[in-house]
Amino acid sequence: MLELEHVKKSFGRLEVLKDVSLSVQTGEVVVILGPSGSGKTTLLRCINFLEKADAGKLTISDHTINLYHAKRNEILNVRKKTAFVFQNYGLFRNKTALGNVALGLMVSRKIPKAEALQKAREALDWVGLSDKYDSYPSQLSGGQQQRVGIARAVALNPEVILFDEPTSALDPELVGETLEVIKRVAKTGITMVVVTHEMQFAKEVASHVVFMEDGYVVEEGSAEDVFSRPKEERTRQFLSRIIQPEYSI
Amino acid sequence: MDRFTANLWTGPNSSERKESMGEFFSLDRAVKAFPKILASLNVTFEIVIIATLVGLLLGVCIALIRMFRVPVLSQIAAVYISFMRGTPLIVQLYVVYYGLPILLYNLVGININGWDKLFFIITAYALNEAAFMGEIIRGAIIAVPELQTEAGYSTGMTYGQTFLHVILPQAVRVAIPSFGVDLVSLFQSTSLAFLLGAVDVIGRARTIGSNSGHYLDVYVDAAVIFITFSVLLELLFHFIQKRGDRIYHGQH
Amino acid sequence: MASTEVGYEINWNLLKLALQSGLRNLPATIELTVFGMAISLTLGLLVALVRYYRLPVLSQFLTVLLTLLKGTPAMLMLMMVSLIYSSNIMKIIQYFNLNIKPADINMIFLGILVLSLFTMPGTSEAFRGALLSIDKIQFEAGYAVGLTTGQLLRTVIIPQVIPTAMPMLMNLLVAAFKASALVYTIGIVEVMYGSLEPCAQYYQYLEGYIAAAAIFWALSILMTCFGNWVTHTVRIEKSEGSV
Repeated sequence: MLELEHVKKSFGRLEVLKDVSLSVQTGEVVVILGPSGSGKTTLLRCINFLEKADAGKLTISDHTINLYHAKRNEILNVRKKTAFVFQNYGLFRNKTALGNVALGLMVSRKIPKAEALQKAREALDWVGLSDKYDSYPSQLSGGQQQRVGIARAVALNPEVILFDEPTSALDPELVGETLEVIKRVAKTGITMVVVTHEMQFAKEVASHVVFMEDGYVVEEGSAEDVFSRPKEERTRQFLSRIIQPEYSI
Repeated sequence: MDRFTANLWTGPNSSERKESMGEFFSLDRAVKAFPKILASLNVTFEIVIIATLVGLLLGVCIALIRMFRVPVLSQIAAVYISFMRGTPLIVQLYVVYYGLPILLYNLVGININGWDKLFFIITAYALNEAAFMGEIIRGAIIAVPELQTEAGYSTGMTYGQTFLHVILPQAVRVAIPSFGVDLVSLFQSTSLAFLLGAVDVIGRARTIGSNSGHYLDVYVDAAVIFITFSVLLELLFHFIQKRGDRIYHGQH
Repeated sequence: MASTEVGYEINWNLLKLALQSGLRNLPATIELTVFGMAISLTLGLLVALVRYYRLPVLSQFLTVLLTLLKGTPAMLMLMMVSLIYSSNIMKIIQYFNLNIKPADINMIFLGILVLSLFTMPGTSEAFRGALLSIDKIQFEAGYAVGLTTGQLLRTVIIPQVIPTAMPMLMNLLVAAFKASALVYTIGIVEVMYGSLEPCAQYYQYLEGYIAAAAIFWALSILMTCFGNWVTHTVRIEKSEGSV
């Protein structure tokens, strides 16, 4: 239901995405792995036009858009079908947790206020923050802020949720609880595209894994295939460096 | 002393020197004159309020023009800001006072020579304020992290909606301290208006002073008024900021 | 006050005269600005130190004094100082039996006085803010090594205070420069006075004000560039560390 074809993106002289194609089926959890600079975050941000790609096509629920020549209302439509969870939480600093979740519902989805607030409360309950409705982001820990971000994404009821390294900015002890919430999101069956470094999490949750390096897709396949039987040498090198041997304590 | 400074000379002339044979400063005279001078505060406030409102409106336009790099207009805006910030206010007052009627007559044929002096005075202050406001506003909007805008986009909001609900409230918070300083500065700068004939605090003080021949009393009165209100304005903004912090940061 | 005849042409010849006359008096404006700032910087630093160390009595007194200065507009300060001066100058001359006439005295010192009073709250705030931003550790390390307070301030603290305070001080310099224009109202001869002098003959003052505006504008652009350069340079020295 989401398809990217031949996406290219350069920042000045630096070519970050050289020719990337990606195909996501409904209900899939696609995890994108790769070293820094591989272009995975840029690819994700091109989907909802936080970055404007130089070339390529995006197909989302049967509408095909040219990434470079996209018109404003096309971009807006894509953003209304997607939701984004930021590495640095991206919460609106001038709104409470409740306000953060409800704002998009009211302004973008044009849902009436009472209904939006109700949905917002439900979403916050679902991520375990029922006691934090009226807290401002500055009063919340990193993990709590990220959970509000996830609640916000979920409440929007999008066709696909995009996660940009959702736990990379968290203190180690908070990573676990956040990953638990993301796993619960995956269990609801919603389509997800996740960029992450958390291999264990990827193994548990991913239905499809994509390994990127240097602006290209090097290898992709089911989680089991890529992790246990990587076909490419570079994939093997990357995995061996990242995956910790399991210690028994 | 040539003619042009004769009416500007603010020290005592020979007649005044004779009269100040009486006490130089008298608390009694000062207290008596105070209420009359205080009453002229309405003119001062008129200048400040109108200049602030017009300055805010124009300032927003200037800020937006510069932020969106509108061709031609943003260069003009940059020159305008440079002029307003780089020349003394007193010069601007006179240039507007003498120059605006000429400019308007040559451009559109309207003769505004007969208009109330206060109009020119307020216009000059408003034009000056617009430049400073424009910079304050632009700085405040830029200070809001881009992540906030991206977060707004990611929920499907347009730039306009994101600006209204997310960026503007945060920019206002950032702008409040600078705005407070600017407002106090504007208030004090109205002390130049009397040179063009305004009957504000200082204008009134000088009228009373010239009638009685004793200037120091009324100057002290004026100083008291300026100091008091400057302090009050600063305290006001201090509390507004404190309240804003409390709302956003809670009991942290 | 404005001319009643409209349909007025700018007298370019007068504008040229005004520019020349104004520029001729530029040294006076610069003198006012530079000396005014120099005094205010020195005193401002001292005041900031007194307030930082919370010396009893003196710091409270200075805080009140600064509030009074900060709340008084420059124009009013100028008028008050000029009034007090001209009312008392004869008495002072007679008291000290000086063999001069009031007209012999160059009143520029009054302008310098007012300018330094006007900028003092600003300079002392700039220094005080910079002092407060310095880590306590700097002081503790200095004492631990055996420096006296005077040595510590001279060699460690003040060299760090200056780069921090520089942006605000440069802004104040430009503000002082613009405020110096006001002194023409008490008869001090500087750029404003100079630009307006030729206009008295013709009874057309707009050209004089335009000339003054041009001179101030050009110079404040130069000063802003200078200010940016200074701020940038002291930052580099600070980060590279000087022995």
